[in-house]
Amino acid sequence: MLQLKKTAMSRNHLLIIILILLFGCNPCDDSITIDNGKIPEKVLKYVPYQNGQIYKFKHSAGLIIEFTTIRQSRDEYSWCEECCKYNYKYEVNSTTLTPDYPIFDFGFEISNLDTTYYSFIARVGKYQFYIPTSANSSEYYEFADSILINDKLYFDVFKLKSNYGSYYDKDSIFADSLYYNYELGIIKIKMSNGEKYEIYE
Amino acid sequence: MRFMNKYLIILFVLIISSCGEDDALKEETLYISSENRDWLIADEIGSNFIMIDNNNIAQGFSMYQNSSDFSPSTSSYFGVKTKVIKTESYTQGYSSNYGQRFSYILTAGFAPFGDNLSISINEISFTYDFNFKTIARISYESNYKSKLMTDKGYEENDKIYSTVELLDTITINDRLYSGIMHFSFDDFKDKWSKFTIKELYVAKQYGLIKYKLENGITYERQK
Repeated sequence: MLQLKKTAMSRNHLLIIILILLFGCNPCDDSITIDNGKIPEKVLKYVPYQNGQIYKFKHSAGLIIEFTTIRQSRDEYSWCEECCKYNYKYEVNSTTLTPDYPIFDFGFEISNLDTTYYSFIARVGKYQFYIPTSANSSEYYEFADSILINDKLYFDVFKLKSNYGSYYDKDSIFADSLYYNYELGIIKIKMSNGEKYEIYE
Repeated sequence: MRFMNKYLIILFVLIISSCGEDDALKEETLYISSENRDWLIADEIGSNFIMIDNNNIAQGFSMYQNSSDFSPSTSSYFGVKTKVIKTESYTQGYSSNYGQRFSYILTAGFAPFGDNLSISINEISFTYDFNFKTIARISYESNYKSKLMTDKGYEENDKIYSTVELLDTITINDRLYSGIMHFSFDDFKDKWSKFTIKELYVAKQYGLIKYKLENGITYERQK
């Protein structure tokens, strides 16, 4: 009698395990991949730096530093933790300016994962700045119709603030703000200790 | 009776060998000497200092790591843990706003070797033995050289050309530092770039106070 009871219990356990295996993790249905295509040329122009070109910046103490450019595009796919009905194939265009002096490099990345608002991130070493690609977001930057830098007038300049200063474990000196326009790229980088890097044309 | 004895021996061995380090027959703790402890940087996480190069560009270093440990190592005989040695060590690390990294690991020595200080700056790392007053190991990027450790000391099977010199004092930016280690890098020269660090000065209590690159750029600690 006892033996029969045990066998019945084992069967029940086995059944439960099989049910969990079959239905516990609902396998994903085939998701649909949407190809966002190429980043439009007019958006790529937000980064004016060209592959293989050299650009110069002048430190406030007088040193002129040359940066060599590498620019390339790659395809990426969106990722989601759970099953997604739609996956997106999108393009990322990245630009890196490497200095001939041991300071930070500059990086720019534009993507069309969201085609309603193109993501554009600028990196000054480890300090990140979000460059607007439309008038939607306006809280974290100022916009100047014109700005005088080194006796030269620059037009339509974004003044972007780094949020690095709010970090608990922060550097004693960090990139505080970035002045950027679509035509010339970085106009000025202001360090937290007052030092500056400015475009040298 | 003979079987009983066998089982007892096996049981005894199992009890001793299967337990943790706390059950070893002998335990020893190695401490860093008070004299060498002075090389530790008297700072805490988040503290910082500034280096200025010869083009007047400032670089800020911030401490991101400051920890100590007694790491255990065990010796055993036929599976029986006979000895556990706990070695005192300190790790201190800094990074800069330009991505430079500098770190210390000060470790207690075991006879005949002395306490040793491993210094890493960017892609260079070396270990100095205070007892034998020599560089025991050195690496640059993925290249590595080390002296062979024997029960009498080190044997040099792969010559290390870099040197360490201990100086009493040095003055940098009008500040006098005492207890100085001056490191000159002279290995793996075919792998160097113009940004390779070829000279380094560290001071007791302060850490990094000066370094010089292959292309002549020199960084000095601001007062």
